[in-house]
Amino acid sequence: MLRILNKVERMEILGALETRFGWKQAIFDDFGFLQSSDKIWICSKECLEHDIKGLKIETIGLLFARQGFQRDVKPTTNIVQLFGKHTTTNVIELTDEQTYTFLHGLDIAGIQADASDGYVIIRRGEDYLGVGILRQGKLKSQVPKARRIKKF
Amino acid sequence: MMEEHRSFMPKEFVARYEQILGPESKEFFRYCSLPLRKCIRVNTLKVSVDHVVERLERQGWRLERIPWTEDAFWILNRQEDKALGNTDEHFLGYFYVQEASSMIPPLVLQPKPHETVVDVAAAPGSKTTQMSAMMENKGLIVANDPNISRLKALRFNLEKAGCINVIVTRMDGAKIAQSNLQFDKILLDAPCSAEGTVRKDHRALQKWSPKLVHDLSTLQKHLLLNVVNRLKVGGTLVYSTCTLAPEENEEVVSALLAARKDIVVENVALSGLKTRSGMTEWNGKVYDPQVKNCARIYPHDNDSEGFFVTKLRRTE
Repeated sequence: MLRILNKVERMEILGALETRFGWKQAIFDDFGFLQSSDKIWICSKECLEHDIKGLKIETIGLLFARQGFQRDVKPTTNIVQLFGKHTTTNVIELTDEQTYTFLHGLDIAGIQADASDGYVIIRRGEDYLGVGILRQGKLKSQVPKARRIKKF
Repeated sequence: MMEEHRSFMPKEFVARYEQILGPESKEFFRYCSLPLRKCIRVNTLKVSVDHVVERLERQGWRLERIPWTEDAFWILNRQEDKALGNTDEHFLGYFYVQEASSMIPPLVLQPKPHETVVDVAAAPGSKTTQMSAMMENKGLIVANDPNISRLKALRFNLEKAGCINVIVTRMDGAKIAQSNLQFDKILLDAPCSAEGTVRKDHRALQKWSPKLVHDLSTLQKHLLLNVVNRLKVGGTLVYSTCTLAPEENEEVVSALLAARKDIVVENVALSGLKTRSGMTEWNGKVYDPQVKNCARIYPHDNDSEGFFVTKLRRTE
Protein backbone atom coordinates (compact mmCIF):
# COMPACT_ATOMS: atom_id res chain seq x y z
CA MET A 1 0.00 0.00 0.00
CA LEU A 2 1.57 3.28 -1.13
CA ARG A 3 1.62 5.97 1.56
CA ILE A 4 3.09 9.45 1.78
CA LEU A 5 6.10 9.73 4.11
CA ASN A 6 5.63 12.01 7.08
CA LYS A 7 8.30 14.53 8.15
CA VAL A 8 10.05 12.14 10.51
CA GLU A 9 10.18 9.27 8.02
CA ARG A 10 11.35 11.63 5.29
CA MET A 11 14.16 12.96 7.49
CA GLU A 12 15.22 9.42 8.34
CA ILE A 13 15.59 8.45 4.64
CA LEU A 14 17.20 11.68 3.49
CA GLY A 15 19.35 11.81 6.62
CA ALA A 16 20.76 8.37 5.81
CA LEU A 17 21.65 9.54 2.29
CA GLU A 18 23.22 12.72 3.62
CA THR A 19 25.34 10.74 6.08
CA ARG A 20 26.48 8.20 3.50
CA PHE A 21 26.89 10.35 0.36
CA GLY A 22 26.74 14.00 1.47
CA TRP A 23 23.43 14.72 -0.32
CA LYS A 24 22.03 17.74 1.54
CA GLN A 25 18.39 17.26 2.47
CA ALA A 26 17.46 20.67 1.03
CA ILE A 27 18.11 19.28 -2.48
CA PHE A 28 14.80 17.44 -2.14
CA ASP A 29 12.67 20.28 -0.74
CA ASP A 30 10.52 20.48 -3.89
CA PHE A 31 9.71 16.78 -3.99
CA GLY A 32 7.34 14.42 -2.22
CA PHE A 33 8.10 10.89 -1.07
CA LEU A 34 6.01 7.75 -0.80
CA GLN A 35 6.75 4.27 0.48
CA SER A 36 5.45 0.78 -0.19
CA SER A 37 7.19 -2.02 1.80
CA ASP A 38 10.94 -1.49 1.19
CA LYS A 39 10.52 0.77 -1.86
CA ILE A 40 10.66 4.55 -1.63
CA TRP A 41 9.32 6.71 -4.45
CA ILE A 42 10.03 10.36 -5.28
CA CYS A 43 7.58 12.59 -7.10
CA SER A 44 6.97 16.27 -7.82
CA LYS A 45 4.93 18.05 -5.14
CA GLU A 46 2.06 18.52 -7.58
CA CYS A 47 1.63 14.73 -7.88
CA LEU A 48 0.42 14.79 -4.26
CA GLU A 49 -1.62 18.00 -4.42
CA HIS A 50 -4.37 16.92 -6.79
CA ASP A 51 -7.46 14.78 -6.34
CA ILE A 52 -6.45 11.64 -8.24
CA LYS A 53 -9.52 9.58 -7.33
CA GLY A 54 -10.95 7.79 -10.33
CA LEU A 55 -7.53 7.15 -11.89
CA LYS A 56 -6.25 3.58 -12.02
CA ILE A 57 -2.73 4.30 -10.82
CA GLU A 58 0.24 2.10 -11.65
CA THR A 59 3.08 4.28 -10.36
CA ILE A 60 3.64 7.72 -8.93
CA GLY A 61 6.96 9.39 -9.75
CA LEU A 62 10.22 7.50 -9.86
CA LEU A 63 11.61 4.69 -7.70
CA PHE A 64 14.03 6.57 -5.42
CA ALA A 65 15.60 3.99 -3.13
CA ARG A 66 15.19 0.74 -1.28
CA GLN A 67 15.41 0.48 2.49
CA GLY A 68 17.31 -2.57 3.76
CA PHE A 69 16.84 -4.63 6.95
CA GLN A 70 19.26 -2.47 8.90
CA ARG A 71 17.58 0.75 7.73
CA ASP A 72 20.34 1.36 5.18
CA VAL A 73 19.10 3.23 2.15
CA LYS A 74 20.18 2.28 -1.37
CA PRO A 75 19.41 4.87 -4.06
CA THR A 76 18.46 3.57 -7.52
CA THR A 77 20.61 3.84 -10.63
CA ASN A 78 18.25 6.44 -12.10
CA ILE A 79 18.35 8.60 -8.97
CA VAL A 80 22.15 8.50 -8.86
CA GLN A 81 22.20 9.66 -12.48
CA LEU A 82 19.93 12.60 -11.55
CA PHE A 83 21.35 13.62 -8.16
CA GLY A 84 24.83 12.05 -8.08
CA LYS A 85 26.49 15.41 -8.77
CA HIS A 86 25.77 16.31 -5.09
CA THR A 87 27.90 13.41 -3.81
CA THR A 88 30.83 14.28 -1.54
CA THR A 89 31.64 10.99 0.18
CA ASN A 90 31.80 7.25 -0.60
CA VAL A 91 32.22 7.78 -4.31
CA ILE A 92 34.40 5.53 -6.48
CA GLU A 93 36.00 6.78 -9.65
CA LEU A 94 36.32 4.18 -12.43
CA THR A 95 38.57 4.06 -15.48
CA ASP A 96 37.06 3.59 -18.95
CA GLU A 97 37.82 -0.12 -18.85
CA GLN A 98 36.33 -0.55 -15.38
CA THR A 99 33.26 1.39 -16.54
CA TYR A 100 32.63 -1.13 -19.31
CA THR A 101 32.82 -3.94 -16.77
CA PHE A 102 30.52 -2.12 -14.36
CA LEU A 103 27.90 -1.33 -17.03
CA HIS A 104 27.85 -5.01 -17.98
CA GLY A 105 26.77 -5.80 -14.43
CA LEU A 106 30.09 -7.50 -13.57
CA ASP A 107 32.27 -7.26 -10.44
CA ILE A 108 35.57 -5.39 -10.27
CA ALA A 109 38.35 -6.50 -7.92
CA GLY A 110 41.26 -4.53 -6.50
CA ILE A 111 39.42 -1.29 -5.78
CA GLN A 112 41.41 1.19 -3.73
CA ALA A 113 39.40 4.24 -2.84
CA ASP A 114 38.57 6.58 -0.02
CA ALA A 115 35.27 4.82 0.68
CA SER A 116 34.00 2.50 3.40
CA ASP A 117 32.38 -0.86 2.77
CA GLY A 118 28.73 -0.64 1.83
CA TYR A 119 26.82 1.24 -0.87
CA VAL A 120 29.01 3.50 -3.02
CA ILE A 121 28.29 5.95 -5.83
CA ILE A 122 30.08 5.13 -9.07
CA ARG A 123 31.52 7.90 -11.19
CA ARG A 124 33.53 8.05 -14.38
CA GLY A 125 34.76 11.58 -15.15
CA GLU A 126 31.71 13.82 -15.02
CA ASP A 127 29.18 10.97 -15.32
CA TYR A 128 27.47 9.48 -12.28
CA LEU A 129 26.72 5.95 -13.40
CA GLY A 130 24.93 4.22 -10.55
CA VAL A 131 25.42 2.31 -7.33
CA GLY A 132 27.82 -0.42 -6.33
CA ILE A 133 28.46 -2.44 -3.19
CA LEU A 134 32.03 -2.29 -1.91
CA ARG A 135 33.29 -5.25 0.17
CA GLN A 136 36.99 -5.50 1.05
CA GLY A 137 38.25 -4.03 -2.17
CA LYS A 138 35.74 -5.79 -4.47
CA LEU A 139 33.06 -3.73 -6.20
CA LYS A 140 29.78 -5.43 -7.03
CA SER A 141 27.79 -3.70 -9.79
CA GLN A 142 24.19 -2.88 -8.97
CA VAL A 143 23.17 -1.89 -12.50
CA PRO A 144 19.71 -3.45 -13.07
CA LYS A 145 19.59 -6.21 -15.71
CA ALA A 146 17.34 -4.21 -18.03
CA ARG A 147 19.82 -1.30 -18.09
CA ARG A 148 23.04 -3.27 -18.62
CA ILE A 149 25.04 -2.84 -21.80
CA LYS A 150 24.67 -6.08 -23.74
CA LYS A 151 27.57 -5.99 -26.19
CA PHE A 152 31.14 -5.68 -24.89
CA MET B 1 6.46 3.24 -62.44
CA MET B 2 4.94 2.12 -59.15
CA GLU B 3 6.79 -1.19 -58.88
CA GLU B 4 8.92 -0.07 -55.95
CA HIS B 5 5.93 0.44 -53.64
CA ARG B 6 3.37 -1.97 -55.05
CA SER B 7 4.62 -4.72 -52.76
CA PHE B 8 3.76 -2.99 -49.48
CA MET B 9 0.96 -0.55 -50.34
CA PRO B 10 -2.63 -1.72 -50.70
CA LYS B 11 -4.32 -0.65 -53.94
CA GLU B 12 -6.95 1.43 -52.13
CA PHE B 13 -4.20 3.27 -50.24
CA VAL B 14 -2.46 4.17 -53.51
CA ALA B 15 -5.73 5.27 -55.13
CA ARG B 16 -6.61 7.44 -52.11
CA TYR B 17 -3.36 9.41 -52.15
CA GLU B 18 -3.37 9.74 -55.92
CA GLN B 19 -6.74 11.43 -55.45
CA ILE B 20 -5.63 13.60 -52.49
CA LEU B 21 -2.25 14.70 -53.87
CA GLY B 22 -2.68 14.43 -57.64
CA PRO B 23 0.62 14.47 -59.60
CA GLU B 24 2.47 15.15 -56.32
CA SER B 25 1.54 11.66 -55.14
CA LYS B 26 4.48 10.27 -57.10
CA GLU B 27 6.89 12.11 -54.77
CA PHE B 28 4.84 11.05 -51.74
CA PHE B 29 5.07 7.37 -52.71
CA ARG B 30 8.78 7.70 -53.43
CA TYR B 31 9.42 9.10 -49.96
CA CYS B 32 7.26 6.39 -48.39
CA SER B 33 9.77 3.88 -49.77
CA LEU B 34 12.86 5.68 -48.47
CA PRO B 35 14.41 4.93 -45.07
CA LEU B 36 14.24 7.57 -42.33
CA ARG B 37 17.20 9.43 -40.90
CA LYS B 38 17.84 8.49 -37.27
CA CYS B 39 16.92 11.26 -34.80
CA ILE B 40 17.74 11.87 -31.17
CA ARG B 41 16.39 14.30 -28.61
CA VAL B 42 18.71 15.40 -25.82
CA ASN B 43 17.26 14.68 -22.38
CA THR B 44 17.62 18.05 -20.72
CA LEU B 45 16.45 16.59 -17.40
CA LYS B 46 19.94 15.15 -17.09
CA VAL B 47 22.33 17.05 -19.32
CA SER B 48 22.74 20.09 -21.59
CA VAL B 49 22.37 19.99 -25.37
CA ASP B 50 25.90 21.29 -25.98
CA HIS B 51 27.37 18.62 -23.72
CA VAL B 52 25.76 15.72 -25.59
CA VAL B 53 26.55 17.18 -29.01
CA GLU B 54 30.20 17.63 -28.06
CA ARG B 55 30.50 14.10 -26.70
CA LEU B 56 28.80 12.41 -29.66
CA GLU B 57 30.77 14.42 -32.21
CA ARG B 58 33.96 13.45 -30.42
CA GLN B 59 33.00 9.81 -31.02
CA GLY B 60 32.65 10.42 -34.75
CA TRP B 61 28.88 11.03 -35.03
CA ARG B 62 27.73 13.89 -37.26
CA LEU B 63 24.66 15.76 -36.07
CA GLU B 64 22.32 18.25 -37.75
CA ARG B 65 19.79 20.14 -35.64
CA ILE B 66 16.17 19.46 -36.52
CA PRO B 67 14.91 22.95 -37.53
CA TRP B 68 11.73 22.98 -35.46
CA THR B 69 13.44 22.00 -32.21
CA GLU B 70 16.09 23.35 -29.86
CA ASP B 71 17.29 20.03 -28.50
CA ALA B 72 16.97 17.38 -31.22
CA PHE B 73 19.23 16.25 -34.04
CA TRP B 74 19.38 14.05 -37.08
CA ILE B 75 22.30 11.61 -37.05
CA LEU B 76 23.86 11.91 -40.48
CA ASN B 77 26.26 8.94 -40.50
CA ARG B 78 26.54 5.31 -39.51
CA GLN B 79 29.70 3.91 -37.92
CA GLU B 80 30.77 0.36 -38.60
CA ASP B 81 32.34 -0.35 -35.23
CA LYS B 82 29.76 1.28 -32.96
CA ALA B 83 26.02 1.67 -32.50
CA LEU B 84 24.33 4.72 -31.02
CA GLY B 85 22.32 2.48 -28.70
CA ASN B 86 25.52 1.07 -27.18
CA THR B 87 27.05 4.39 -26.20
CA ASP B 88 27.52 5.37 -22.56
CA GLU B 89 25.39 8.42 -23.29
CA HIS B 90 22.47 6.18 -24.26
CA PHE B 91 22.93 4.06 -21.12
CA LEU B 92 22.94 7.23 -19.04
CA GLY B 93 19.65 8.40 -20.55
CA TYR B 94 21.33 11.49 -21.97
CA PHE B 95 19.35 11.21 -25.19
CA TYR B 96 16.20 9.55 -26.48
CA VAL B 97 15.89 8.06 -29.97
CA GLN B 98 12.68 9.68 -31.27
CA GLU B 99 11.42 10.38 -34.78
CA ALA B 100 11.45 14.06 -35.76
CA SER B 101 7.70 14.33 -36.50
CA SER B 102 6.75 12.72 -33.21
CA MET B 103 8.43 15.62 -31.39
CA ILE B 104 5.89 18.03 -32.88
CA PRO B 105 2.79 17.50 -30.67
CA PRO B 106 4.50 18.45 -27.37
CA LEU B 107 6.10 21.47 -29.07
CA VAL B 108 2.65 22.63 -30.16
CA LEU B 109 1.11 21.86 -26.75
CA GLN B 110 3.90 23.73 -24.85
CA PRO B 111 3.37 22.25 -21.37
CA LYS B 112 4.87 24.55 -18.72
CA PRO B 113 6.45 23.80 -15.32
CA HIS B 114 3.80 23.45 -12.56
CA GLU B 115 0.97 22.78 -15.04
CA THR B 116 -1.33 19.74 -14.93
CA VAL B 117 -1.12 17.69 -18.11
CA VAL B 118 -2.46 14.36 -19.36
CA ASP B 119 -0.95 12.20 -22.10
CA VAL B 120 -3.95 10.02 -22.91
CA ALA B 121 -2.19 7.35 -25.00
CA ALA B 122 1.32 7.70 -23.66
CA ALA B 123 3.17 4.44 -24.34
CA PRO B 124 6.00 3.92 -25.09
CA GLY B 125 6.74 7.41 -23.73
CA SER B 126 8.66 9.50 -26.28
CA LYS B 127 6.25 12.43 -25.93
CA THR B 128 5.79 11.97 -22.18
CA THR B 129 9.52 12.11 -21.53
CA GLN B 130 9.75 15.10 -23.88
CA MET B 131 7.03 16.93 -21.94
CA SER B 132 8.60 16.05 -18.60
CA ALA B 133 11.79 17.74 -19.80
CA MET B 134 9.86 20.78 -21.07
CA MET B 135 8.25 21.01 -17.60
CA GLU B 136 11.64 20.65 -15.86
CA ASN B 137 10.24 17.75 -13.81
CA LYS B 138 7.72 20.09 -12.15
CA GLY B 139 3.94 19.95 -12.21
CA LEU B 140 2.04 16.79 -13.00
CA ILE B 141 1.76 14.61 -16.08
CA VAL B 142 -0.75 11.77 -15.99
CA ALA B 143 0.64 9.27 -18.51
CA ASN B 144 -1.97 6.73 -19.48
CA ASP B 145 -2.15 3.61 -21.61
CA PRO B 146 -4.61 0.69 -21.41
CA ASN B 147 -2.14 -1.94 -22.66
CA ILE B 148 -0.03 -3.80 -20.04
CA SER B 149 2.95 -4.64 -22.25
CA ARG B 150 3.12 -1.14 -23.69
CA LEU B 151 2.94 0.25 -20.15
CA LYS B 152 6.04 -1.76 -19.27
CA ALA B 153 7.92 0.05 -22.05
CA LEU B 154 6.50 3.38 -20.88
CA ARG B 155 7.66 2.84 -17.31
CA PHE B 156 11.13 1.77 -18.45
CA ASN B 157 11.51 4.89 -20.59
CA LEU B 158 10.24 7.21 -17.85
CA GLU B 159 12.69 5.70 -15.37
CA LYS B 160 15.63 5.88 -17.74
CA ALA B 161 14.87 9.51 -18.57
CA GLY B 162 14.51 10.35 -14.87
CA CYS B 163 10.91 11.64 -15.03
CA ILE B 164 9.77 12.51 -11.49
CA ASN B 165 6.58 14.46 -12.31
CA VAL B 166 4.62 11.59 -13.87
CA ILE B 167 1.78 9.44 -12.55
CA VAL B 168 1.31 6.35 -14.75
CA THR B 169 -2.24 5.04 -15.12
CA ARG B 170 -3.68 2.04 -16.88
CA MET B 171 -7.22 2.61 -18.10
CA ASP B 172 -9.41 3.20 -21.10
CA GLY B 173 -8.42 6.74 -22.11
CA ALA B 174 -12.07 7.80 -22.41
CA LYS B 175 -12.59 6.98 -18.70
CA ILE B 176 -10.18 9.73 -17.69
CA ALA B 177 -13.29 11.86 -18.21
CA GLN B 178 -14.74 10.23 -15.08
CA SER B 179 -11.89 11.39 -12.84
CA ASN B 180 -11.92 14.62 -10.81
CA LEU B 181 -8.83 16.16 -12.41
CA GLN B 182 -9.00 19.19 -14.66
CA PHE B 183 -6.05 19.73 -16.97
CA ASP B 184 -4.27 22.81 -18.28
CA LYS B 185 -3.03 20.76 -21.23
CA ILE B 186 -4.19 17.51 -22.83
CA LEU B 187 -2.26 15.48 -25.40
CA LEU B 188 -4.30 12.93 -27.33
CA ASP B 189 -1.85 11.26 -29.70
CA ALA B 190 -4.46 8.79 -30.76
CA PRO B 191 -4.13 5.12 -31.77
CA CYS B 192 -4.39 5.20 -35.56
CA SER B 193 -3.75 3.34 -38.83
CA ALA B 194 -0.12 4.55 -38.67
CA GLU B 195 0.18 5.28 -42.40
CA GLY B 196 2.84 7.85 -41.58
CA THR B 197 5.17 5.22 -40.07
CA VAL B 198 5.56 3.25 -43.28
CA ARG B 199 9.08 4.61 -43.79
CA LYS B 200 10.20 3.07 -40.52
CA ASP B 201 8.51 -0.25 -41.26
CA HIS B 202 6.90 -1.21 -44.58
CA ARG B 203 4.72 -3.70 -42.67
CA ALA B 204 2.79 -0.74 -41.20
CA LEU B 205 0.33 -1.02 -44.10
CA GLN B 206 -0.17 -4.79 -43.92
CA LYS B 207 -3.42 -4.48 -41.98
CA TRP B 208 -4.52 -1.23 -43.62
CA SER B 209 -7.99 -1.11 -45.14
CA PRO B 210 -10.80 1.44 -45.47
CA LYS B 211 -12.69 -0.52 -42.78
CA LEU B 212 -9.74 -0.23 -40.36
CA VAL B 213 -9.65 3.51 -41.00
CA HIS B 214 -13.39 3.77 -40.34
CA ASP B 215 -13.22 1.74 -37.11
CA LEU B 216 -10.31 3.77 -35.80
CA SER B 217 -12.15 6.99 -36.63
CA THR B 218 -15.01 5.85 -34.38
CA LEU B 219 -12.57 5.08 -31.55
CA GLN B 220 -10.76 8.41 -31.97
CA LYS B 221 -14.01 10.39 -31.84
CA HIS B 222 -15.02 8.51 -28.68
CA LEU B 223 -11.66 9.31 -27.03
CA LEU B 224 -11.59 12.96 -28.06
CA LEU B 225 -15.18 13.76 -27.14
CA ASN B 226 -14.62 12.27 -23.70
CA VAL B 227 -11.21 13.61 -22.72
CA VAL B 228 -12.10 17.16 -23.76
CA ASN B 229 -14.44 17.23 -20.74
CA ARG B 230 -11.36 17.37 -18.51
CA LEU B 231 -9.91 20.47 -20.19
CA LYS B 232 -9.89 23.69 -18.15
CA VAL B 233 -11.34 26.87 -19.62
CA GLY B 234 -8.45 28.51 -21.46
CA GLY B 235 -6.63 25.16 -21.66
CA THR B 236 -5.08 23.60 -24.76
CA LEU B 237 -5.67 20.16 -26.23
CA VAL B 238 -3.46 18.79 -28.98
CA TYR B 239 -4.99 16.02 -31.07
CA SER B 240 -2.43 14.22 -33.21
CA THR B 241 -1.93 11.02 -35.18
CA CYS B 242 0.81 9.45 -37.26
CA THR B 243 -1.60 8.82 -40.09
CA LEU B 244 -2.81 10.94 -43.02
CA ALA B 245 -6.32 9.51 -43.41
CA PRO B 246 -8.84 12.39 -43.26
CA GLU B 247 -11.36 10.11 -41.51
CA GLU B 248 -8.96 9.81 -38.58
CA ASN B 249 -7.94 13.44 -38.60
CA GLU B 250 -10.10 16.27 -39.92
CA GLU B 251 -13.28 14.21 -39.57
CA VAL B 252 -12.54 13.56 -35.87
CA VAL B 253 -11.81 17.24 -35.20
CA SER B 254 -14.96 18.23 -37.09
CA ALA B 255 -17.03 15.89 -34.92
CA LEU B 256 -15.64 17.59 -31.81
CA LEU B 257 -16.42 21.05 -33.16
CA ALA B 258 -20.00 20.00 -33.91
CA ALA B 259 -20.43 18.81 -30.30
CA ARG B 260 -18.56 21.58 -28.49
CA LYS B 261 -19.08 25.24 -29.41
CA ASP B 262 -16.56 26.32 -26.77
CA ILE B 263 -13.65 24.71 -28.65
CA VAL B 264 -11.69 26.59 -31.34
CA VAL B 265 -8.93 25.38 -33.65
CA GLU B 266 -5.79 27.48 -33.43
CA ASN B 267 -3.09 27.72 -36.03
CA VAL B 268 -0.06 25.42 -35.78
CA ALA B 269 3.18 27.18 -36.66
CA LEU B 270 6.63 25.89 -35.76
CA SER B 271 9.61 27.69 -37.21
CA GLY B 272 11.39 25.46 -39.71
CA LEU B 273 8.50 23.01 -40.15
CA LYS B 274 6.61 22.84 -43.45
CA THR B 275 2.96 21.99 -42.93
CA ARG B 276 -0.15 21.89 -45.10
CA SER B 277 -3.65 23.04 -44.17
CA GLY B 278 -6.25 20.53 -43.10
CA MET B 279 -8.61 19.14 -45.71
CA THR B 280 -12.07 20.69 -45.53
CA GLU B 281 -13.78 17.82 -47.38
CA TRP B 282 -13.15 14.21 -48.35
CA ASN B 283 -15.09 11.39 -49.91
CA GLY B 284 -18.43 13.18 -49.97
CA LYS B 285 -18.16 14.60 -46.43
CA VAL B 286 -17.75 18.30 -45.72
CA TYR B 287 -15.93 19.21 -42.51
CA ASP B 288 -16.10 22.24 -40.22
CA PRO B 289 -14.18 25.07 -41.97
CA GLN B 290 -11.98 25.54 -38.88
CA VAL B 291 -10.13 22.31 -39.79
CA LYS B 292 -8.13 24.30 -42.30
CA ASN B 293 -6.08 25.35 -39.24
CA CYS B 294 -5.07 21.72 -38.69
CA ALA B 295 -1.57 20.78 -39.86
CA ARG B 296 -0.82 17.93 -42.27
CA ILE B 297 2.81 16.86 -42.41
CA TYR B 298 3.64 14.76 -45.44
CA PRO B 299 6.82 12.62 -45.54
CA HIS B 300 8.19 14.49 -48.55
CA ASP B 301 7.75 17.95 -46.99
CA ASN B 302 10.37 17.66 -44.24
CA ASP B 303 11.90 14.24 -45.04
CA SER B 304 10.18 12.76 -41.99
CA GLU B 305 7.34 10.44 -41.04
CA GLY B 306 3.83 11.51 -41.93
CA PHE B 307 1.89 13.24 -39.14
CA PHE B 308 -1.23 15.25 -38.33
CA VAL B 309 -1.48 17.84 -35.55
CA THR B 310 -4.35 20.01 -34.35
CA LYS B 311 -4.20 22.64 -31.61
CA LEU B 312 -7.52 23.15 -29.83
CA ARG B 313 -8.36 25.67 -27.14
CA ARG B 314 -11.31 25.81 -24.79
CA THR B 315 -12.77 29.31 -24.69
CA GLU B 316 -15.09 30.80 -22.03
